[in-house]
Amino acid sequence: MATVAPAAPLVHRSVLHAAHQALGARFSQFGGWEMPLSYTSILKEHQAVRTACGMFDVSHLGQVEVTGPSATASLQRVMTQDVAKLADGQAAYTPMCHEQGGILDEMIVYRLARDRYRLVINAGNADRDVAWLREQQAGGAQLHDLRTSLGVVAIQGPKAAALVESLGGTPLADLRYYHCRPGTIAGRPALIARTGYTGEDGFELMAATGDLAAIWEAAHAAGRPMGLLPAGLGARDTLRLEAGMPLYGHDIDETTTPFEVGIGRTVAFSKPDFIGRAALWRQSQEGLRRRLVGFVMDEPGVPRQGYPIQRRDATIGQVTSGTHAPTLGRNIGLGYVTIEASEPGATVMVVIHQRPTRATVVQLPFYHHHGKS
Amino acid sequence: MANRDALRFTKTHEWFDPTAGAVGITEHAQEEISDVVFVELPNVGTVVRAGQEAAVVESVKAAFSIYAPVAGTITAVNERLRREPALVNTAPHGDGWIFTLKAQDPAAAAALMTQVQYQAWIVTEKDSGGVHAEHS
Repeated sequence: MATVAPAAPLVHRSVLHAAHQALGARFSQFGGWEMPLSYTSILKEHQAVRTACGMFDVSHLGQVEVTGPSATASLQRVMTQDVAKLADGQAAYTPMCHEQGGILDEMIVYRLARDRYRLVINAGNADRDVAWLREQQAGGAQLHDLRTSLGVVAIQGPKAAALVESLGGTPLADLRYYHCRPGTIAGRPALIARTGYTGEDGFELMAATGDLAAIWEAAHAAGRPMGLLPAGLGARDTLRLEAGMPLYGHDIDETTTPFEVGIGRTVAFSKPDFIGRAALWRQSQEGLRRRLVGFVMDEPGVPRQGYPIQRRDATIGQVTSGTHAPTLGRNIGLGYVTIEASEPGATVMVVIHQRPTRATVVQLPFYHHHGKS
Repeated sequence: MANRDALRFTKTHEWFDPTAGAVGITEHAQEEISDVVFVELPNVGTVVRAGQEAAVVESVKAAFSIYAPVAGTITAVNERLRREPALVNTAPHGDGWIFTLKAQDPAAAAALMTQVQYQAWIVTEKDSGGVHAEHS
């Protein structure tokens, strides 16, 4: 009997793929997408975002919309945040949990209008999210899968506002952090959101895939004299880690709860019932056994995902993300540890290349930018 | 720095200078690894087998093992790398050398690739995915 070879996994590419190639990008696979890892050097791209600005193609992020008269009620049930508090043009970061309180995904929900919300979801979870959201839509709310029709360009850094203002021709001083508004970038319609994943001031420009190249090219041309560099997933990872932001699939998965991740502020027990409420309430009353913490290495060595974390010769957890932090000049990581070792100042040992190496638990974020917003 | 023609190369992208015993990573490898931020050096006097992990080069993105090209004893390490790990990127064949090795068998280097063979190997390997982060 003939066997059928399994089909090669489908790898998505951004509509900007050719532009990335022309800029000399090296690519890496992430969440089912082949995206730029870096163009020049991760360190240079990281530095550009901290001191001037960087532009990222983050079209691997999935965009969906929930619309209709019961859109708010529908989202109130699936998200842990109180989405009903949002005004038009306001956004919230929220986990989406299953009944046991584990995180299926975490995302930013933008309220575009009273009956219309945009959700920006993780690439690696997008198929599951769409299926889950479809299953959970009650009372006639509509789910629109916009993944193939929309892309995202993020412009991040202290000079991002000046650059995006110049591209849109309108002032953005009154567009606050975690707010968005429809606008025009390089003559193309775009949703301009003051959000990001770098720990800097910045914007995420969501636009039709057919308009994305024009936006990308215009931002690149206008940004270069300001010190802008195109930046890839490598710098995105070091930037978000310095800012203490967890990454799904590494620091978060369906076995971790918002309280364990340290984002308990996104669980709104004050609102009506939502999926996972009972389990999360129980955990909030009983207390945690483990928690995601940030740590800084005191001895030489770079922590990496999967390395054991020990205390008094016993393994108490493991590293979920780690890197050399370019802005801090230190080696840093995130990892789960038992609650006894989770207080800032606690000494732990990270096993790096078979050698227990000393680290200190610190308050997150590792890096805090000094600008406004 | 040694005459490039005298250098020998491994499939894991180390270069070996059979005269001086110096070991480093190739220009091709440093490009692939990029942004070296830390080098874990071996202890002088350590005895290594051919192909045994002898050092670790950490870049921003991952850890890469550096293997002994031939069996021997570590005779020196590049102390400058403790403060200037980026020398591995800027001068992989010069000031970015990693350690020196006294070969157990002086003829062992003959089994390694020449410059021309290594260039051909890079092309072959590129078709199958390139340099991997392979530290365990």
